[in-house]
Amino acid sequence: MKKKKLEDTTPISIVFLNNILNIIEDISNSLFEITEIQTKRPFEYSEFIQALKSKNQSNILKMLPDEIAKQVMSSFFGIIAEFAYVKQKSANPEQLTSEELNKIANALKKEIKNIRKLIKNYKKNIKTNKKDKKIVKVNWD
Amino acid sequence: MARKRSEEEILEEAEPVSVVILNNIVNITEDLAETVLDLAKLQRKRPQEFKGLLENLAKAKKEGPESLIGVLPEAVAKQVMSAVMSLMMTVGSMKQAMKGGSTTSSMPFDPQKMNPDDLEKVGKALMEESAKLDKVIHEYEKDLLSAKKGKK
Repeated sequence: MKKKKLEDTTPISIVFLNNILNIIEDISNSLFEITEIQTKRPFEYSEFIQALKSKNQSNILKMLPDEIAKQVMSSFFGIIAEFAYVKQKSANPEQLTSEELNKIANALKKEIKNIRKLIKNYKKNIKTNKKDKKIVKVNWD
Repeated sequence: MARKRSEEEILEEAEPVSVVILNNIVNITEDLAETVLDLAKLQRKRPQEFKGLLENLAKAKKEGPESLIGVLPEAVAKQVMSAVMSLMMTVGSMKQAMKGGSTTSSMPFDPQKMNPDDLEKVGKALMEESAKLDKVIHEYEKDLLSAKKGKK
């Protein structure tokens, strides 16, 4: 409740700046993760960069597990279609209505949720495989 | 003695680089979606102020970043300018180091040649400036709240 009151008095420029800061924080966290990967798994990292440099979308997708790659492609097209529709309706971004902005944001959120779910399942599978490996015992009899 | 690694940390090692990067992209996209939702809310609730900001942004596009700073409260604007300069210097020195110290070399910027130390340096600089800005904004919001209470 207190936060809502504050938001009403906070200038729009500050609300924007706060949002930009959140994005910057995520970017710096990504840089730290890239640093870690580059140090710990240099070969895999180098392969990934090569795939990115090839500018061939299918090469990038091949780097992802199959199921996730399919969802990424579907999300990508879903978001592009949403943008195209909104752009068609308002050639000038300044004329975007709040309903249209909401529509784009909700489309982004929906696709993020789909991808997150798949990544979670994928991680769970890796974990299960790892556990399965642990209980394999060689019977010498 | 070294700390025992948790199951989660071991799992992260098994995760392909592409999935780690995708996770990061998803996080950034989520922040973008939140920003768009905030924009929609502001546009609906404070249309006049929103329009004013858009006009200022358009002006800044024509006249340069200095006029963009004019839309922010003074103390915050100063910190933003200082953060931008400092980040530009960090990225500039990193780019120069990649070109073997030469400022005139025409060698293109190649992300593959960035070493982990350089990346960490940029990451830390971003975090540091972000923390400073967070602090200034927090102070500014506290002042706003006190001023509002004072009026009552």
